[in-house]
Amino acid sequence: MFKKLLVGLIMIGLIFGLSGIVIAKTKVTFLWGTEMQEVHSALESAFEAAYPDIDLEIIAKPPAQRSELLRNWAAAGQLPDVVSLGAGTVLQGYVDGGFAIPLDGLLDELEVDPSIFIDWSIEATTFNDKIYALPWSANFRGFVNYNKTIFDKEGIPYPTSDMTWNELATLAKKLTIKNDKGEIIRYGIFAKHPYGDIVWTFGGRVINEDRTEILFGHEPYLKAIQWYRDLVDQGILMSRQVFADYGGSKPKLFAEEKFVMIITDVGYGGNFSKAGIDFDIVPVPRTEKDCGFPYGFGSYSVSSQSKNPKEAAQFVAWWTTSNEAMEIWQRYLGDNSTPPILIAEQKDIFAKIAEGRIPKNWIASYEAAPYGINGNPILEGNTEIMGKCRDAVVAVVMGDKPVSYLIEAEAECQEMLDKFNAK
Amino acid sequence: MKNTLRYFALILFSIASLFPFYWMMITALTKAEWITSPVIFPIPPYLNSFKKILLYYPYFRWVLNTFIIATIGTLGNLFFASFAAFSFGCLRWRFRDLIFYLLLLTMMLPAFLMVIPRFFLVVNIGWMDTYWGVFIPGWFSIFSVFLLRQYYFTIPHEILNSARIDGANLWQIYWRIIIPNSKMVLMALFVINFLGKWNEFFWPLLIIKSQKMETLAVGVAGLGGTIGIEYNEIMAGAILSMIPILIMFIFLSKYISKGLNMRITF
Amino acid sequence: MGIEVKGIKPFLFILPILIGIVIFGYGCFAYVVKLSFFKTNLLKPPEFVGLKNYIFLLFESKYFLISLKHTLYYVLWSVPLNLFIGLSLGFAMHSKIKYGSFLRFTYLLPWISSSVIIALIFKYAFNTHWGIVNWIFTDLLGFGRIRWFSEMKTAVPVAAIMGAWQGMGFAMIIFLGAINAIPKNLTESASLEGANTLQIIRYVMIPLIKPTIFFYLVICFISAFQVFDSVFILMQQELGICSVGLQGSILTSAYFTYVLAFEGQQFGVAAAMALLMFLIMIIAILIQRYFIGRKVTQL
Repeated sequence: MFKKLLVGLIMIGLIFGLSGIVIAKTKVTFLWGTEMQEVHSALESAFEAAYPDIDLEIIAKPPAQRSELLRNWAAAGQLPDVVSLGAGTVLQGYVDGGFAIPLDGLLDELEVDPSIFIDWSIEATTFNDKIYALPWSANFRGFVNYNKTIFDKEGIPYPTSDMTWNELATLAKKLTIKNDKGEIIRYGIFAKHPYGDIVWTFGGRVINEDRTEILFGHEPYLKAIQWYRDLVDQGILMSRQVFADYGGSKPKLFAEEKFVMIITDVGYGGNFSKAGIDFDIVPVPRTEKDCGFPYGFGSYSVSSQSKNPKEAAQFVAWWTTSNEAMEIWQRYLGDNSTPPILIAEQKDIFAKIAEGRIPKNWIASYEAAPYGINGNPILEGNTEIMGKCRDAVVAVVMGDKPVSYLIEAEAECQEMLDKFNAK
Repeated sequence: MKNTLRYFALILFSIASLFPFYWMMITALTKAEWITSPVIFPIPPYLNSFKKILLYYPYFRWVLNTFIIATIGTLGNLFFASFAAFSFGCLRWRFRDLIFYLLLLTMMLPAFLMVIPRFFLVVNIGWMDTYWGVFIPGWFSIFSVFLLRQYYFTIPHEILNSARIDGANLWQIYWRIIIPNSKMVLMALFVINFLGKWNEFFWPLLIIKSQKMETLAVGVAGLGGTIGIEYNEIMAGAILSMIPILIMFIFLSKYISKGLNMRITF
Repeated sequence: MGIEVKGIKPFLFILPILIGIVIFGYGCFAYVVKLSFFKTNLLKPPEFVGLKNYIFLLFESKYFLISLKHTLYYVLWSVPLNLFIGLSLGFAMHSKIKYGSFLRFTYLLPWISSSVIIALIFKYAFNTHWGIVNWIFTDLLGFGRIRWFSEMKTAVPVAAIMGAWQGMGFAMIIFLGAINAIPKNLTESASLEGANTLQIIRYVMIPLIKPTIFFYLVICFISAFQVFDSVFILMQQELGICSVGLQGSILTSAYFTYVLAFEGQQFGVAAAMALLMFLIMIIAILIQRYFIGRKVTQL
């Protein structure tokens, strides 16, 4: 009796196991996030309507798990056909590791002309004169998102971009509220990634243009950190510890009025709208050295482990250029502040948002934000210098406890830390 | 006096045991993702989280996958373990104890770091994103062997010896004497292992790529919208994923205690 | 005892398990050992560095000692807690009692929950501002607001409590099994001679279940030493399942190995760390066996 049961169950197992092998059409797998769950079916049907011979499968994993999964899959030769990554250093690491294929030939075959993209976007996905990915959905850091409801309620005029950093600080101070016990119940302002959002726009840099020297100790950098630090010490700017204590979700805390303003990237707009916040954005103050905003964006690349590169490239081209894709995206995220498709016609929109402050050399601008786009550097790539010490320094500077990343570079970092603390 | 102490302790423990489940239920029935002030019971109960998981996500597919993996994984585990335990527990042969303790040592190996070579191994065999890849590593666990061996020590070995004298070979002794007598232990181990495999998270997370192969644990962990993880959805998902095993558990929990009624000796 | 058998037959029975464990156990372990002598992030070709990883961990990095400290602290909380709960439940439940099977079912219930979900619940319950624990402590009772996950002293006990909660049923079962196997006449004759229940427990029952206690201690110790799932979820920021954890409050060895491997991208050092912990654990268990175990196996 037992034996029969056993055999029966093994048979069921075999049937299910083998059924995974049956394929109907050419399949393109694409790794994306669960946060876009609603969009998946819309995407799949739209793409399959446009290209009936290709079967699109979207692998949905939460963004937090993605970098580890990608690493493990890459090491085991199991990458999905299309991978969505941040452009810039993250993508470069991926390319350096040999996990992406150049798209020039395929784009020719598919009759897609790369020059339809905005120049600064396609530059970022081109390495060694070959295009490795198509860009998508630009994002600028260093924008003050402010809660209009609170400003209206308290009768304070909205912040403008002609303010100075000091004026911004004073404004934040006015908006901070304490309760009877002296605990702060509402912070004026918050900035989760002070590097990209504050340091660069102050004119500071993390590493120099040739990427040979770390510029932690230089003047504008120190000024920026000082500004940040002073506000934290005075209890006007929410520290990252407090942010973590409250649960660490920007849209939630913004909606619950735990802070009135937040310096973050433009792309967060969709999340804030979804959380029901009535907000607007304004660029952070200018400085004498007009450095513009560091920016970054997503990129879609075809992995070198893909068995269907042409179909995969077809999908990449469709998603980054077609009207249907754009429509689906806008329908889902509503009024995202930046258009997702980086075709040259959109150039003016971006220029307007950034009030003309888009720096020409995007690579340099991006180095100011050592966290990479999602804070998940997947591959070491060329960020070795930064990667070694940045978190140690950031953690110490911001008052957190440094833990990870202090592996090989403890000695090197100590030198740097000593230099910094000596100031 | 002793009785009241006893009852007091028992009641305290049962409250402690049930409270987190109660909390899970409250959170799942709440509309807002974070409960900022304690709530005894949300009124009106918000059922959307449950509805969403049952209708919008592939809940039943998850249950099917998890069930297949847990069942075959556990059956295989018990199958191989009882063979080995028979050899370690009922037979006497050279190197028996040495080999056993060497195998026992594997319990102390750094479990999660070995995930990496296991992953590469399983992928190279070609079992990525298949049921096989998920449950086969679970077939080889020394823990079941250990417990079964303990149990086999308690079977009077005169019976075995006399069966031997009567001309039975080892295989027959195994099937006709040992297995029928160890039904309780096997049930207990079945439940234990099944539970373990049902809730297993990190290994399926790595092996499973496509959505149609996801297990409950992986699926529930991925719930969440743009704003971040929605606690109420995850708790609703957790409750729903516990329902199948809860049902099983209600009927089978007594086997666990009956089955493990033994003293551990070395 | 047992049937005397010569030749190859016993091996045939253990063959599947043997092969499986050799491949998935020792084989993979060998890979880890090999990895510990290299520097790699798994995507670039590995560089041989010899003992450098070990030297770094033992002498140059202060985190190895910190991790040991945290692990020890966790073990010191977890093992006695588990033992206490197990023994209490075992003794309380071993004789017939009203609603006995319902109670037993209740204690087994935590077992069916997934450790990932439970960790989320505990994380939420002990949240500094929104957690129910702080609501009781601070708002009701007026103590200072404790930030539970900010330092080892407070965070590790929370993790230990969580582990003990989940293991409640298992502990009870193990001890119930042992206690029920004590021959009734022994306890009966003791009570006939005038001993009350507590004395019976202490002088008769506990000595008789010593091997089981020792077995459970070792199991608890091993799993406390290797605790990972719960710490992992508790330490994650951003509510995501994986994300950079900046808090160093629980750095138990397995979690630290993970941080080294996946966040520091240093798989060689992580492998070295795992090996060192393995050695430490074996030594610790041998010490335990020497001091406690000897008296136990004499029974």
